[in-house]
This record gives sequence, C-alpha cells and structure tokens, in this order.
Amino acid sequence: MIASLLLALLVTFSGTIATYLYDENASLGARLCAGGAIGLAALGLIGFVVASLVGLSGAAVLFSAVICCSPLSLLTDGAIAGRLKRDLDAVSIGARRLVTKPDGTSIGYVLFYALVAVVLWRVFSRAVIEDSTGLSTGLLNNFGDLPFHLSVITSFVFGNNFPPEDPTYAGVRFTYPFISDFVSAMFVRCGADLRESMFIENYILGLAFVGLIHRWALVMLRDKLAAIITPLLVLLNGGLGWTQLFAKAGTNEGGLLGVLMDPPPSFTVVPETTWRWGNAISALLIPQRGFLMGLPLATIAFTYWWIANDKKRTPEATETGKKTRASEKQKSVWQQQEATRVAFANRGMIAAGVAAGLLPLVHAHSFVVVMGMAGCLVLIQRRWRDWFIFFAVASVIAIPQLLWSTIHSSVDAGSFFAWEVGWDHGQENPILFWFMNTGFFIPLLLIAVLIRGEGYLVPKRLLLFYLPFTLCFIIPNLIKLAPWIWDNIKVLYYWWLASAPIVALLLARLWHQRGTRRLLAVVLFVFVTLAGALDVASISLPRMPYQVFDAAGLRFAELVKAQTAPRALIVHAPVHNTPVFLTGRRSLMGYPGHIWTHGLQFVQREGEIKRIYLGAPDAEQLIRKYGIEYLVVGPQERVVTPVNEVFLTRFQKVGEVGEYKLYKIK
Amino acid sequence: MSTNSTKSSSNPKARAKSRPSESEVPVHGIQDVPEQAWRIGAIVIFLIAAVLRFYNLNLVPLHHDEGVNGNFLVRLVREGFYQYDPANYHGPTLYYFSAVIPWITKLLFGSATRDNYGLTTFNIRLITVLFGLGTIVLVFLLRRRLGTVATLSAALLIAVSPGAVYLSRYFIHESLFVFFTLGIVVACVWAYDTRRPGHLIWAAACVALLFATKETALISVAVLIISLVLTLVYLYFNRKPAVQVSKRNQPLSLWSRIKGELSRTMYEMGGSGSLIPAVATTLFVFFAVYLLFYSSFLTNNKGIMDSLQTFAIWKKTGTEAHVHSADQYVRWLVSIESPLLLLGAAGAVIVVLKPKNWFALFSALWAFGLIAAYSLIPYKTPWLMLNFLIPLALISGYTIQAIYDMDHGQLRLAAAVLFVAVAVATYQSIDLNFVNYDNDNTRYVYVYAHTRRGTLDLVTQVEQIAKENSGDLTGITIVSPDYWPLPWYFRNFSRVGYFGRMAASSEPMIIANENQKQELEANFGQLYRQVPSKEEGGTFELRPGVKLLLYVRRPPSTQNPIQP
Repeated sequence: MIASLLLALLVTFSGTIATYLYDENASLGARLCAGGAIGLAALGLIGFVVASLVGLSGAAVLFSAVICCSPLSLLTDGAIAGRLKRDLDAVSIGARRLVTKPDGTSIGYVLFYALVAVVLWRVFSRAVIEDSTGLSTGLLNNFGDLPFHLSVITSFVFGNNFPPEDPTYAGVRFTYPFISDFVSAMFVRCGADLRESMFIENYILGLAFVGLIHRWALVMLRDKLAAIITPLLVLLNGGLGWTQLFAKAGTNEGGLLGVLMDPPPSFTVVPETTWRWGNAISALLIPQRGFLMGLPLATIAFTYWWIANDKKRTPEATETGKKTRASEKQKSVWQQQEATRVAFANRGMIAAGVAAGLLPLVHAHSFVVVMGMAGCLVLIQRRWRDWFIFFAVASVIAIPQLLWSTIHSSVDAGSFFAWEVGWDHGQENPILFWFMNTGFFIPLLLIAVLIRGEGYLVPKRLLLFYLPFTLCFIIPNLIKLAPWIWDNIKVLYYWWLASAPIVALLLARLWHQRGTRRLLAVVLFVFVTLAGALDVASISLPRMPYQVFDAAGLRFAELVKAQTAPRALIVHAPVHNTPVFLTGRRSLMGYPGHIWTHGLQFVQREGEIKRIYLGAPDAEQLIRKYGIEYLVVGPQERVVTPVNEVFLTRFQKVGEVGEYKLYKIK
Repeated sequence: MSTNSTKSSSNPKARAKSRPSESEVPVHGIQDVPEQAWRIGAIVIFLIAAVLRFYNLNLVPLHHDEGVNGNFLVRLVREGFYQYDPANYHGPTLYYFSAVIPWITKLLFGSATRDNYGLTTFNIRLITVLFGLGTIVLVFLLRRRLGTVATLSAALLIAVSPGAVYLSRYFIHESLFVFFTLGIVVACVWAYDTRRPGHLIWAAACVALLFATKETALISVAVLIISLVLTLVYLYFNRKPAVQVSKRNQPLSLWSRIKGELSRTMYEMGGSGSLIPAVATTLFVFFAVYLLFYSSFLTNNKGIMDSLQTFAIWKKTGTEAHVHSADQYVRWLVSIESPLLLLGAAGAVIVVLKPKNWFALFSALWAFGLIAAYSLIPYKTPWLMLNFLIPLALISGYTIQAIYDMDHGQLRLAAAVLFVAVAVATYQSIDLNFVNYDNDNTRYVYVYAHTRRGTLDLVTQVEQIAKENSGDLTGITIVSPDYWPLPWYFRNFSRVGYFGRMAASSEPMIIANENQKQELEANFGQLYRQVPSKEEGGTFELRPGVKLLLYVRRPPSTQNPIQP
C-alpha cells in the first residue's frame, strides 16, 4: 500500500513539475491537479508498453516509474526550481495569512476543498467495501461495473494478460479502454490490495478533476465565485429528481426525515423510468473508471485551448464581477512578455495535445469528443499554427493506440451507430424528458447566453468557444453512439461540463447583485444541484452495501489462483459477479450485458455454455473448440443453468470452497 | 451590395440599375452578415439537406403511389411508351425526368445495365432528391429580396423540415411541382430586379413544367397571382401619402400607380422593341414545353386535349376522394411542422403590421393563401402540404431576419430562436424519415397508408427463392387484390401475373392476401407450402390492414400424392 501510494504521489509530483514547461501562470494547486491526471495516465500508458514487453513485474513498474519521473530532472533548471520555490512560498504565506489574517475568499477556498476532499474520500471509499462477509459496493450503480473492473485489474496482475485479451470473453482482443484499470494493476503489483489500488487512483483523479474544472472556469470566466460554483454544478448534476423526495415522504412512516435517513439508491437515474440523467459521481465517475481518468485529461486540453486563444490575457485572479483595466505599467509589461506568452501558448497546445493523445486507451468516447471539439474550434478560431501543433502532438501519441485497438478487433462497429432520436427518452416527450432530467439547467443556460446588460453576460469569444460543445448535446440526441443508448451519456456529459461555467456565471452575476437576486441565485443553485447532492449523500451515508462477492467466493478465488495457471481458460456461468473475475484467469464469457455494450456478440457463446453445463451431445466438442481447462460450479451456475452432475463426474474436482467447486477438464 | 450611381442616364437599363431595389437599402445602422459567413452558411445548409435526403434512399419501401409511378417509368424506359391519363396519376414530367438516367445508361452500356443499374430505387428517388435540393438553391437566389439572415434561415428550415425531407425521398410529383412553383417566383423576381425580359422565359418554362406535372398547377398559379395583387394593393394603402402627384395635383389612384409602374418597368426593360420578342419567345417556350410533354414528345396528340379535360375530372375527384375537414391541414401542420407554422404566422403578423419588405408580404400571402385554398377543397393528402411549406419557410426566415434587425444586428437572439425551431424540426425529421417511416400513428402525418417494412422482407424472400430456381425467369402468381408496389420490386421478373383474385397457378411462387389463406390452402395446400416470416402467422405486412402470404411450390418428392 505504501509503495503504491508513493508511486502515485511520485508520478503526480513529476507531472506537476512538468507543468512548469508549458504553464506560466498556474497556481501550485492547479499544477498538482494537472500533474496527477497526466502523471497517472502517462504511468498507465508507459507501464502498459513496458509490461507488454516484459510482463507486469516489479521491475517493469520500477522502470515505468523512472520514465514517468523523468520530468523531475527539470528541477536541475534553476528557473523552474525557482518558480517551484516561489509557488511553495506563496502557499506558505497563504497558509500563514489564513491563520493570522483570514479573509472570506481564502476561508471559502479552504472550506470548499476540505469539503470536497472529505466527500470524495467518503464516496470513493464506499466504491469497494471489503469485510468478513465478502466484497461489496456502497453504490448500486457500481454493482455491475465493479466486478468487470476487478476482472481487468486481476487479469493484468495475476493473469499475465499480454497482449490483452478481453477478460470476460476469451479469445478476442481487449479493446475496451483499460488504462485506468492498468494503473490499479500496477498499484496491486506494488503491494496494494484491490480496494486500495482503486481508491488511491480514484481519489487522486477525483480531486484533480475538481481542481482542473475550477481552474478552467477561472481562466475562462475571470470570476472567482463563478469558478468555484462550476465544479459543484458539474459534479452535483441532476434534474428534478429531488421531487421524488417529497413523493416518497408522503408514504414513509418517518416522513421526510425518514426518507433522508434511508434514501433510495438514486434520485437521478432509475431504471425503467423517466430519470436517466445520472449524477456524475454515482453514475459515471465511480462505475466508469475510464471516464474518471478521461475527464481530467479532457479538461486540461480545454483549459489550454482557452489560454492559447486568450490574446489579451490578464492576471487570472481578478476582482469578482469587475473587469480588470490594465494600468499603463502593466500594459508595457505585457507587451514585453508578448513573445514569452506566445511561446507558452504554443507549449500549452503541446500539453493539450499530450493530454488528448493519452485518451484513446483511457476513454475512447472522451478522445472522440476532444478531437471533435478541436476540429470545430479550428474552423472557428482559424489559428492554424496553434491547432496544427495540437493535432500533431495528439496524433503522434494517439494513432499507435488507435491502430493497436482497432486491428484484429472483434467489436461489431456497426452495433455502435444508428439513428435514435431523443436519447433514452422512451415513451416520454423528449422536451419534457430533458426538462425533468436537467431541471432548470437548460433554461438558465439559454438565459445566460441571451441576457444583456451593458454587454452580453457571455462575451462573444466565450460563446464561440462554447458553441462546438452544443454538438455534444445535439448528436447524442440524434444518433446512438454505443450499443446501449444510455451510454450516449459519455458524450452528453461533455455538453454539461462545458455549459456549467456559463450557468455558473449567471448565478454569480445574480449573487453579486444582492437583494432578492442573491436569494434567487441560491434557490436556483439548490434546484439545479439538489438531486445530485442527494445521490452523493445517499452514497456517503452508512447503509447496507450491495454484496458483489460473498466470503466463500473470495476464498474460492484464492483457491483458483493457487490451482490454475495464469492463462488458464475457465468456463463459468455468464454472470457479472463470478469469483473467477478475481483470479485474473481467462473467462469463456462473462455478463452478456457488458459484452453487448462492448459491441461483441454473446448469443451463440451463451447458448454453448449452457450446453456444456447440460452435458449436451456437443459439450465435449465445445470444450475442445475453446480449449477450456477448468469449469466452475457454484451458486450462480445453479441459478442460471441446469447443471448435469453426471456429466461432471468425468472431470476431476480440484478444489471446493463452500458451494463453489472447481473441476479440471483438460 | 453594390452602390449605384444616381447620375441620370438616357440608357433605360442604366437608369434601371441606378435605382436601388428595395432590399438593397439596408436597415439604418444594421450590418449584414459577412459575405464569407453567407457562403459557409449556404454550403453547410446545402450539405445538411443533402445528407438528410441522400442517406439510405432505399430504406423506406415504396409507397403504393410510388410503385404506380415506377410502373409507368418502367414502361416508358423499356418500351418508350407513355400516354397521359387525365383520370389518374398526374402529369408526365416525373416520368420523363426520371427516365434520363436509365436512358443514358442504356445508351452507354446496353439494356441489361440499364435494368440493373439504371432502373433502381435509388435512381428514381434521386430525381426527387435533386429537385428537393434544387428548391433550396432557389431559396438562396432570393437573398437580395429577403435578406441574408432570412434566406439562410428559410433554407435551413426547409433543409430539416420533416415533410420536405420525406417528400424529397418520395418518388412522386410533389418535389418537382414545388420546385417549378418556386422557379416561377424566382424567375419573375429576377426579371423585375434586373429588368431583363429574358428571365421571363425561365418563368414560362417553369409554368409549363408546373402544368405538365400536376393538375393542381391551376391552384398554385391562381394563388400566386392573387398574392401578388393583394401585395400591391396592401402596399398602396399602407404607403405614406403620395410622392407622385398627377398633373392635376391630386394623389394618384391605385390603378394610376400600377399603370405608371408598369410603364416605367417596360421602359426600363427596353421598351416594346425588346419586350415584344421576349413575350413572344416566352409564350412560345410555354406552349412548346407544355405540348411536348403532354403529347409524349409528339407521339400522343390526344394527350394535349386530355390535359385540358383533366381539370373537370379532378374537380370531381377533389370532392370525393381523401375527404378531410377544413382544418385538417392546420392540424397536420401543428403536429409535424409546428416550427414553420409558428414562425410563419409570426412573420406574417410582423410583415402585415410593418410592411417593409414586399416580398416577405407576398410570401406570407402565398403561404396562407395556399393553406386556405387547399383547405377549402375536401380532397386532402399530407404531401400537398409541401406546397405551402416552402412559402412558410420563406416567411419564417423573414421572422428570424426581423428579430435580427430588431436586435440591432446581433445574431444571438435570432440564432437562439432559429436553433430551437431547427432542433424541433430535425428531431421530428429524423424520427419520421429514418425510424418511424412506416408508422401509421397519427403523429407521423406523412406516413399515409404507407407500405410497411415487412414488404421488403417479402421481396428478399422472393429474390432468394428465385435465385434457387430460374432467377428472373421464375414465375410468380399474385392472387392478392392488393399488391402495389410489388410490380416495381418485381420489375425484372419476366413471368409475374397480377390476377388480383384466386387463380390457377403452377408457378414456383404464389403471393396471396391473408384473407385468401383458407381458399389457397384448399386449392394448393398439397403442392405449396407457406414461407415463414418474422411476423405472427407468417404474414408480410404490405400496409396497415393488408397482410400477404408467400407460398412456394414444394419439391416434387415432398408433394402429397394426388389421390386418384
């Protein structure tokens, strides 16, 4: 655990130092956030390349760490070391001032980040719960995804899965973006257990995401209040689902308090209902680990796109709500630094290119969004040289990953795309559907764009920067971008991410105007974030977790690891929570739902597995066809398919834990 | 826009040029959209329209009417035979325009290639797509009259309109009809703006082609003329007290103003020396085109008289068939074209209250005049709505322009309003055209007794069976009374019999109506077996209420022995 933590902190620090190459203005906190995101992603990609050659050994991890820590050599540069020292001094001075002469802004920032740190610690620690009863999750939305991610991690650590094969569908190239799970695998190799490995990574990335959104909003909006509201809008997204609170209070014996003490699993996404716009934390960041890594990287790219476009840059922290007027002295300083600024702008585009280039194996949808938005912004901004730099750098890093993941892929690409209007609206009227799911967000967005005082609240430059992101709303509402229509949320969410600063700007403007408008700002903020906040609270509160693996299953997994070779192929029930997923061994087929969402065909193999368990006439032939070496009979198998015990007597039973049995076939 | 010299000149045309046309005078202080933005916008809108119209043209099975049109086309292409029938199936232009590709294919590569690659579903619908896109190009040509923002908005609304897209992908006369109608308007506007009588020749050609397309040309032309007259009258009564004064120092009457305007226009067009030949040519073009088409290019002179008789026939049809209530079109518009209706109505109100743009006023009268005219006729079908969708789009575009002008040249509010309209229209368009194209729910207005997608499964099965038999020589007996559009899909089969009732058959395949199942199995059950389908009962749904069955002859060894 310690080694894993040290590794994570080391790459974070290394990434932080690297930011001094391309960002002249960022605070230390912003650098740490960018460093964490890029450091972990780079560790994953470099580690994967190294491990592909020599396996995921301690030496491979060490070697990868050394490569990732190469930016630390920049500390030998006096200028960079000096800037780091100045940043550290600034932090120190700020801390002292907080104690001796606290002001509202400082207290606000500290409280905000303290709260974020505590909440994220709480929610991520509930993602995986291990106790005497087994392995559980405190989050219903994570019930299906957790075992899948564990299967990926263990396949790398215990299964020597190189080149990567789909751990839940033996025999096909693994094209699902797996870097975030690979990072966890590296942490496991360093001594962390599965829970710790995921928690370390999740927590760093979660904090980094908040800090990166904050910084992006600050450079774009130049309004401290709006900048601090933005991460809250992003992470506490939701709609009018909070109205369920009152509906349930009516039937709950304890009334509203009773509902709050035992809230339903979610106020934002409920299957078979109109509520589909899941909260970021409960529906996206915890269950979809690739998204948790992809979002910070994308935000880094967006930030540097904006900075590069900002020709009349002023110091980032400005008076709230007021435009800064440059003094004559400052003007001349800026003019002198013009050349430096241009150079840093280009370097910022390089950094953006690096962040984008890391995305294909981190989160494919994020990569598509980032490159799509870049393509649109090129046409709008027409700063050809800057964008050429970005695309060149991103391509150099991304193309090998894309080639690797698409060549010999068994994914049915055709199953990803089709016309489907209105996203997941079902039978609901699409306009009503979106209003229910996003509440006042869209109306506030429209008001923010159109409202005008002395000038537009949203300046033309910001509006033009934002416009391409509207495609992240329009296109997923017209076309299905994944086999499961709900997965369009991976693109839709980028629309929300880009819109949040604009809505935050409106709320901040209302707040600055005092009186009833300030009250209105508060009320609107609550309405927009309440559903998401309730979801986060629901995760954070102690409640009965959802058991994924029972204790016997965990012990059975250890037995399987002991009895079988790392690349052994095991057949089991096609369920999502078989203990085989904790062993790293190859699985003939896992949960059909996951396999379908990954674009693979499951029907035939599902039927074949059933025939094997039934001892059908072609069972032996199927066993030979796939080269199955072991067979599991456990509680899941008995539920899903009839098991022909007589047929199994021809195989040797090599292990038994509780109701779980392992048979050696080959 | 070009600035014009105000120096007087003895050259009438020069004097015409020196007089800035109404729309060239910008609203005070309002900057027009940059030229580059106009170009990019026009290209993007055209591409959007093209994608929506071209994408998977074979997706939707042919409607009954498309099948009939296809049948005429096949005969024209293969036998060179077409004769106008005044009682049915409208005018000849659709067939002759659609025949061009197959004829060229045959000329270059022979008959077999023509049948396989020239006469295809894609190619026949390609013609209506091209005319649909051509309509959008014509809208772009109205920029000087409507304004840049208005023109782009109108074009975009047409590009994504559910009806405009659906009917562009439909092998019926409507797309051509609307193109020619708009062509008349554009040509006349050009002639007036440029003072070149030559443009009237284009107008004449469009009028002739309009009448050669559908009998409802009379309605369209009448509404256009009435709209023009009403526009002039309205403008006269809304103008400030007379600028021109007669010799007796009295304000001019409407008739005097019209006479004066006409005289000046004729003078600027070059006087009688230029006009008489131009008018004569115009008339010649009109009659030549009209007669050529209705006479089937001089092979059927009777067609010319029939083209006049048709009005009496269709007058009767108009009261007996497809009868709906007077407000049906409005209800259909609310259901499927609400952005156009709402923006169009708003634009009409704006232009009536502030008639700054005579062309916008004309478009409003044209749009709502057509709605009124067609509403009065009991005969109503959804595809007729395309006629008023185009002028509605023009006046809707004017609404956006008005918002832009009222907001002092700021695009934001106008863009937001347009975005909402386009978003609603696009959603409905994609839902209708690519997902629910055969859903007869009343929400999908344009799906009017449409062929169900199961028909394509039937066709696929037939083709598969034919491949295992004698290919295109495989015989098919169709005993179902309902079978359109199957003749189009079986056009390459040389032995298809359409009996419309139970008939003896020894062909490899029989297609029957579900209602004929008992009778068919009683007669042929020993010799034929039913081919299953994905639907319940093994049926193939042709259209709502009509289900077909496919039977294939059993191989000889499996036939039940006939009892002596």
